Amino acid sequence: MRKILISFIILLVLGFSSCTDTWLDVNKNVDAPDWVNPVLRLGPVLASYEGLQYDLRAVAPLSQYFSGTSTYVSNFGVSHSYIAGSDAAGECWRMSYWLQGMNLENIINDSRELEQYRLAGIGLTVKAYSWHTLASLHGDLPVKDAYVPGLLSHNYDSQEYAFSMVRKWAKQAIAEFEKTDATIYPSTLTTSDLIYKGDAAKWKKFAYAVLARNYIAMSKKNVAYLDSAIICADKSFASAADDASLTFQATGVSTTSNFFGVLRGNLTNVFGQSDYIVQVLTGNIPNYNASGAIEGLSPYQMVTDTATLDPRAILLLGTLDTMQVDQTKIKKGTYKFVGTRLTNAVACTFWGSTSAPTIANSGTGRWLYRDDAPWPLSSYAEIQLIKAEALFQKGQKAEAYAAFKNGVSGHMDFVKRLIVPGTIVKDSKNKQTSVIGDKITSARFSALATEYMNSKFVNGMPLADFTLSHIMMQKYVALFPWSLDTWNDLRRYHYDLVLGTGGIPATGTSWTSDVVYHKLDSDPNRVYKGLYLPAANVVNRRTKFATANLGSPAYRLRPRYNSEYMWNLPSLQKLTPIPGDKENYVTSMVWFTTPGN
Amino acid sequence: MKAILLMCLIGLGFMLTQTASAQTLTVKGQVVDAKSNEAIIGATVSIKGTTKASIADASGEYAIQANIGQVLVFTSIGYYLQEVTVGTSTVINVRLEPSDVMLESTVIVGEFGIKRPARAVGAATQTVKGSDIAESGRENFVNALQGRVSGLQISNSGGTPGSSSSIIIRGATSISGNNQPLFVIDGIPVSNSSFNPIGGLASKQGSDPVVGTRELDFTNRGSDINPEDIESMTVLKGAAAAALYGSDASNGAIIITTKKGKVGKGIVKYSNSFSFDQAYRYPEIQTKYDNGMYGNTNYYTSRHWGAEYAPGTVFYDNVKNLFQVGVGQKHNVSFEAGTEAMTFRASASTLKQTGIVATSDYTRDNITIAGTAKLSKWMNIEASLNYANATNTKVSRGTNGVLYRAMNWPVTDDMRVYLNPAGNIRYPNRYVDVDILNPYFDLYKNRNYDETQRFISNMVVNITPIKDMLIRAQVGYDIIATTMTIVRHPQWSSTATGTGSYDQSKMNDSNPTINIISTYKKEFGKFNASAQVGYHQTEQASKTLSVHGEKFMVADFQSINNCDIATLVNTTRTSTRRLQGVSGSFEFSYDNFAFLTLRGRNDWSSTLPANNNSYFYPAADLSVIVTDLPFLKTKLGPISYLKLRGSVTQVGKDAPPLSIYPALEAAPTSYGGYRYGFTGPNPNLRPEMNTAWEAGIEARLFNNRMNVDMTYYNTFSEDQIITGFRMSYATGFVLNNMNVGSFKTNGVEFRVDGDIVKNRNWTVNAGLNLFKNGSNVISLPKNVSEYYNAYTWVSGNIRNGVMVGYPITSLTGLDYQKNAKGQVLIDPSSGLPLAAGTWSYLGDRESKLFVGFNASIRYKGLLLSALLDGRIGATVVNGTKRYMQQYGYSIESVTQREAGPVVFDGVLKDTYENTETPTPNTTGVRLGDLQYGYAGLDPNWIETDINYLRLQELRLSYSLSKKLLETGTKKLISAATIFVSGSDLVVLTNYSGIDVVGNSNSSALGGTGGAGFDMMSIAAPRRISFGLSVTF
Repeated sequence: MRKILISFIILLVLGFSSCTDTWLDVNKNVDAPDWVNPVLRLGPVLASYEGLQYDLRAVAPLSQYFSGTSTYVSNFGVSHSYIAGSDAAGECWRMSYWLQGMNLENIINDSRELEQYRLAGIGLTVKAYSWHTLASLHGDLPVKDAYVPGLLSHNYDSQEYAFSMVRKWAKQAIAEFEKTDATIYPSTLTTSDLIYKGDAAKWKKFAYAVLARNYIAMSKKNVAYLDSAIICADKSFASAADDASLTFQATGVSTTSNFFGVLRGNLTNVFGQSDYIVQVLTGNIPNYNASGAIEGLSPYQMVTDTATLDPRAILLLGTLDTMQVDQTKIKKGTYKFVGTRLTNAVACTFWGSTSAPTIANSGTGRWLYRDDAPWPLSSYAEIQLIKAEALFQKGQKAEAYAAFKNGVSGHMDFVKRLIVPGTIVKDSKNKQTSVIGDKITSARFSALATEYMNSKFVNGMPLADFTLSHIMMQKYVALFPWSLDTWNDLRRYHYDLVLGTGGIPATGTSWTSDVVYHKLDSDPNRVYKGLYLPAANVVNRRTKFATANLGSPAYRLRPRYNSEYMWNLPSLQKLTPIPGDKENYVTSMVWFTTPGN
Repeated sequence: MKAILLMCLIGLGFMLTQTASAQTLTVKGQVVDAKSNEAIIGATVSIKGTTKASIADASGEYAIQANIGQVLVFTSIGYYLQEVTVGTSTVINVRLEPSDVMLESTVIVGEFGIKRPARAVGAATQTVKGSDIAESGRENFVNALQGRVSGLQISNSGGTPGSSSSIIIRGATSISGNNQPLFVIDGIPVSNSSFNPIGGLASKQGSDPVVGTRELDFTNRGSDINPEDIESMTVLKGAAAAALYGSDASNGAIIITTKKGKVGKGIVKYSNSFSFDQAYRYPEIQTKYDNGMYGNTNYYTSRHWGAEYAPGTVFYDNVKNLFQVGVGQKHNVSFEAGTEAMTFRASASTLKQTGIVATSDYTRDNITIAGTAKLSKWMNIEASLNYANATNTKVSRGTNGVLYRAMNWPVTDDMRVYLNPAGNIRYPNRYVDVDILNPYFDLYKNRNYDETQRFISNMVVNITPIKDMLIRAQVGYDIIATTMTIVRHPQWSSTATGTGSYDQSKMNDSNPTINIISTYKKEFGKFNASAQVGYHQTEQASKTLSVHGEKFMVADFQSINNCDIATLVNTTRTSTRRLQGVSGSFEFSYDNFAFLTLRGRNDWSSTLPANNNSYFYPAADLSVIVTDLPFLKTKLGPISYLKLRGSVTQVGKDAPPLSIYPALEAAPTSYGGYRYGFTGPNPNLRPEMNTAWEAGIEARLFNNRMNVDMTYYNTFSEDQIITGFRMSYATGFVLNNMNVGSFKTNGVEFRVDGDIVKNRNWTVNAGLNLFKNGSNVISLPKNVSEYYNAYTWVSGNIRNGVMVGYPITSLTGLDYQKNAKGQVLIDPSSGLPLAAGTWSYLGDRESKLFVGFNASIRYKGLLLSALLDGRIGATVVNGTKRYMQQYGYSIESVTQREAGPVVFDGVLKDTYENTETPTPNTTGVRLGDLQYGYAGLDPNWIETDINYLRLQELRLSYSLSKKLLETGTKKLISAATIFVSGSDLVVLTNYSGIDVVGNSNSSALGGTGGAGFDMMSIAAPRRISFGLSVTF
């Protein structure tokens, strides 16, 4: 009996601790929540839009906004290729699928459940914007298979399908904004919403802006999209005050600062303004003769000329000149701008020197290249110029001209809002060494802007002279350097190459393995006057694309290497007409650039 | 002093003494070694068919109550069994024949301490004597197993004190998870984990921790165990161990039995050893060409592609100067006493080791008490308590390590002067960029230190409530508290304007275990049956509190309190894994020569989703002693014992903790917030399954003088839970935890040993073990070309990639670009071979054959023994040499630049490469004319067909004769031994790098690890040690 009793006691003591149902329930992470109110996810989701800036390093050379010695410039801007085995130009991919990805799904789904419709609408707008950008850059991409649990391979959907989803999400967003929130938001909404501080009315306009962008991108596919673009543009931003920009807390650490500011050192002196943007903004587009040599200036100066000062140049571009202390003396020629040819050493950084900026000589930076400068996602100017283009394409020239004027003036407001008047840095001998901030004050800018607006390039232009080129080149300027959609525009117009039959580029006509053939500047159908691809047979270019391109310029970016090329290759190989694993996949024309449905 | 010690013992002896109950006959006698005539201390005398046993004392004398006609069984590890039937005589003296192999009589410690005769076991096991481990002189006992146990691979991450060692038995069974065996001490699982700084250290949001698994090595905690406390160690190989110890033992188990004290008169034993370590195998730096490029000297680059040094330049051998002689000493004292009712042992040990690199050291103090007590005829208890206190000052390793920095330091400058006259960090003379940092500054001004306190406690109650039934209940607790401190001096920066950083992590691990086992045995004529049921419960809980701070207010003061409060980052990390299991087994035997064991176990794990957390796994093993078959008994000639064995096992495995639910991370972006981390949750994980079978033969030949053991094994692992698995970002995550992939492993183990000479004065024996393991990946998801661990990516683009159709121990990298015919493509403009853009298989890190050889020669009291460890057909990534080539440090780089033009074999990539007539390359390239020479491509740095033989141990000992001691010390000293030994004295290899067996990562990495990557390793030093052992 004693034995049994002792045995029993031992079993009882040992078994006591374990015989509870919850004993195994210890697998929750006690150091991190597995659910948070969706508003707490919003800040990081929006902050991930710095991914647009990451990839701008590849796309801005393709759009001929940026030049320099960076490998991005040589691989994307010159070779129209990619960097082998690298995730370069794959950050929007990472941003859309992962950093926003499931977080955004949770924002949308959880806030709908909580009847926080405004937040759901914000989530859907963000999703629509991101996927418009992503599908624009890469063309085909997994949409239906994205986020489906348990899948081991992810098939690609067409850009057409992705774009249809973009519009669906944007429209869903608009529907959410129509609803009344049932719950009160945590006060963190105003800080977490790094774009509009929770202002649903502005978000709704942004959702329409995404639609307008998307419709204009597809406008070659169906003229009805021009009408849709115009309608959405009208419901979108009403003035530059509505511009969508990502703000930064700028606490002195990289994660809260503008990617293109001084602190993060991402542009330094390996990226600089291209010679082309300088030519456009100063009215110095050269005239290339039949053999490609420069013979004076082109008669087709669409934004400004050598006599007219476009004051935006003083902000958009860096200049080595010291700041004009007497601001009233700023006139055409006060500041001289030098651009950099692709792959040449940067002649002038955005901060106005040849060397990389430091806190000592550039402070936190200037204009859009400042640690705390809000980064634009879309603007009133952009939308008005989209509207102008759509109207122009429809033949409504007068209405287009009105929208054009709104667009340019909206861009003046956009540019001016970012001004931080400069202070002069002097050395121990009281000699001016650099300028921290912008070299023009808001007041002087306004005065010069008015002069410019009244010039023959905007308000003073006879309607008869008004062309599509005016719209698109002002848009090219208005989206400098921030918009990835400029590349959409360039691709829609096929880089102004001579086109083959059917209105699309053709080997032999548009290019050979060594040379691309541009329309003449005098060609009324040439949109971007003076823009030449690196393979064009004009002086200062005459480099070739990557051999694998077989003469064709790039029409898409490769998907992210360490996502798709490493871990989803069979899906990529299924793509047509050029399989995704081929070296010339980048030349595969994306859906929106091809005519017809 | 001795008197005091003995008084303590006497006191203990009093307490332990109990009156034994009277029986019919008390048999007494002495057990001696048949060859040496020396007493066999601790020999077991048991009565056949009962659980009754006694143990021989320090004089080999025993006493046991028995009935006439009962059979006494005399056993001791290392001797053949002997059986004697009790007659009328009360004195039975026994001479046991020694053998170095594990014999049929040897019991292996089976299910949680319950003993099982080895002859009944159907799976391969191998036992190592505790004395062999202690005598190896290794601080980390894990290293003593290399070469001793067939099928076992140790990879050592470095030659400085406290380096971690990882063990893999029979190859890896998990692509990403833990592949190390389970360590069991006296029936309770104990931790052999290594601290992983990734996740274990705090870091600023968006930043990596100050060190990773490649930069700093945190020792495997198995090193806390004092080898002197180990009685014996049994290695259970392969998945069969899981049937005994649950799925944690699916990679095998190392079963350690500690000393518990022996019956007999009290013994006090003292031993010591003193050791001297010398660095061995380190690279030589060329002294012909100066810093620079294109053959022109300049001091902006740390690469040595400049002009020749001016005549008369004074050179310093900085690499050699990095090393010093390491000195160590160790002292052990133990006290043992016991009666038949109680045994007791207490021991204390202290060890201090300084390394071959300045400041590095390792200390460990152990106190152990253990004992057994028989409370009544039907109840006894065992208990033990081990305390360890270890400290370790470590050395930075790899491409941020001291060896790397010593190579980097210009040979024209004396690296040993690490401070300038003002007392600040000194940069090398002439060198213009300030990115070369002095390793001595790292050693003396930075800090990489940890200290550990550990308790392993264990209590067992054995009850026999009714005849033939045993209930064994056990509670164990393994507790580890470690504090890691990593300090970077503010001047430790390329511009001397750093801010300093202070990192401290306090990790508390607790691993409680409960096992309750009940067995019942029954005999039916020649049949024997036993059944066993068990309940098992384990928990592995870990809590880490880490803090990180920067911006020291006082540069030379090291404390978190000295950091700018605005820079402080605190992190906690908690993980708990709990497992419950129920096991059952049935064993049938016939006439003690055929054994069949069937087992089943069901586990419930906390780490799997509730609906998938239960998994059952069965096992069966069979053993037949062929030589005992009646019709074969006399027909097998020289074969005196032949056993055929086989087992089939299935093992389920759970996931690592925190793999199924999402965990949000605080984001460092503007105004904060939360977002998902890299790894996606997976609420659908299910247990992975390994199915293994093995078959083997054990034989003894020539009158038991030769032993042969051979095993073939085969494992199929499917539904692998792979963590950190990469797929398309369309999953929504960068990394995923999924049940994907399957692979096969198989191999052969062979062991032979025997006594070559055996007579009264001489014994010469030798043993050889061979081992071969291979694996093949059967499936991965079709879109996944490769699985790899990015931390193994230390040299070029070579990494531990796992690809379908190749071994799981593969190396992948960027091969040459080749045309369809397989010809290498050459860049027409440079004349250099082109690298492919995608990863492909480049080699298998698994050696073709592992070899262990041991031999000993005994002449009277003199014993000379040697152990050699070798590998044949190994493949090693020589990252060190590649780096030295890239930087122009190696002698080979001089040869290359001085050589004439090289025409690389291949065809030009000129668009004709895939035609019938590709253009052969004829361009000669003078490699010395390139900016920084030519460092080749990944395949150039993978050395294959490496053979390697290391004299792991060489030991000479002399035991003073008993007579001499008796007369010379008036019986004060009963035994004394002196020894001198060497470790790792010689390495013979065709490998041109530093360390064939090096590991670029610590054992914390998991998966197939970083073994086979030699990147600035510091190889194991040569060691000479001597010492003595005295028994009072």
